[in-house]
Amino acid sequence: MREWLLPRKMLLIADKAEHMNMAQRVVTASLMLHREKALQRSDLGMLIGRTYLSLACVIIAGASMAQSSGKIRLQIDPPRTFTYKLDHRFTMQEADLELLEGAHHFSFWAPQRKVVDTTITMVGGTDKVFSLRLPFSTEYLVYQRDLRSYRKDMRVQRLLPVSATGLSLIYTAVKFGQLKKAHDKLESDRTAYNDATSPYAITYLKGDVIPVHKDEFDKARSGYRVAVGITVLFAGVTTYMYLRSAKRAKPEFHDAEKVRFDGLSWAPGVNGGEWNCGLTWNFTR
Amino acid sequence: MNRAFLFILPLALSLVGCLKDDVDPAKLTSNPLDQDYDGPALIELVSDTTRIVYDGLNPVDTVVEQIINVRADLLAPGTDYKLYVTLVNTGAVFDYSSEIPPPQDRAYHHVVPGVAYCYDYQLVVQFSRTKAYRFCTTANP
Repeated sequence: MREWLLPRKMLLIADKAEHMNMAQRVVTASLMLHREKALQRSDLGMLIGRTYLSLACVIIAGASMAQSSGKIRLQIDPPRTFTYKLDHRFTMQEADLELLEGAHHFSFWAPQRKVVDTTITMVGGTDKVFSLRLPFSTEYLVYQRDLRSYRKDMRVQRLLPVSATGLSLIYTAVKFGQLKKAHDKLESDRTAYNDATSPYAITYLKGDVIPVHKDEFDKARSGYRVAVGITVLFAGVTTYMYLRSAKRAKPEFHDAEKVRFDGLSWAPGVNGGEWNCGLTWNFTR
Repeated sequence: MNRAFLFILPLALSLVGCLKDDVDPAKLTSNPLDQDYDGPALIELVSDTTRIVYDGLNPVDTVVEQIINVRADLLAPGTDYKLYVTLVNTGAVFDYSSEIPPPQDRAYHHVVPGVAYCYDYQLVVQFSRTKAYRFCTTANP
């Protein structure tokens, strides 16, 4: 608090007098500054005169500046990322403050949230808790809606074809397994033919067994070709959908409330609106 | 993703190429017991002859005889077989069935000179017959 109430040099002096109240610190600091300047001029008489004058000022200021302060604790949602401007001048993030009594203006803001302006009146010597939930900004809600829509479209355009392609690949693998099995049967028939020790066994093998197995192989091969065709089709569709969906830009969130909070704002109007810009400089730093 | 498909598709096509159906029953002809066997002859004709059979000094019959050789080395070791011979003459079939005929029956009897007489030779293995090898001899006493 001292940091924004007092000039830097005075702060250094005031730090030495922690036990004083605010008004006493101001006057004491003023007195000590006067003493430093007087010593530089080496004018002892003037120094004594000014010292008495300053002592008089202390008495007068002590009576006239008996303004007390109060403490306030800010409970803001979101608790970690909120920022506020105090009295349109000082940008701060501290949750615990000690303020002079009277009305103080606060502008609260957090990423993705709206700027909320409010005035808090401090009563001297009292502690206060201020709770506020910053509402989400309209831009963020629109961004969330667009993002949901984008993700849904991505699911439809990417996940669905990929899933279909994956299933068709599994189907192809199953069909290949059947084809391999049918092929193995024919290979075993060939081995059985070479090893046959009976003319009848050969006749039965060539007349009955092998034709049946060839038929099974032909069917399995047809099924496998169909499965490969489906997989190729789905792979093509997936590639096309990927390329198509890649052209769609992912929604980006531009926090207009931050611009507003930082001092630059867009005011829409009949003829297109205008930019408004505010500049705040903390001279106490 | 696309690279994965570029890898998967040729793989799938190559797998199809690996699994060609090259088992054709008509082309299976390498087993000597097969009716369609086309390898080295399982039964070979060693010699043939036309012989006059005498009863003392009197000729009683004219017969045609053949001597054949079975290539047992073409069969699997330990294969048990019997010779099956059929006499073929002007449409008539003389079937010796699965019995190996006695030596006196292994001939055409009462042959006519100038006529060709044929024998069908087969092996009987496990109650079924192999390809028939036919050898013909013209009666020429």
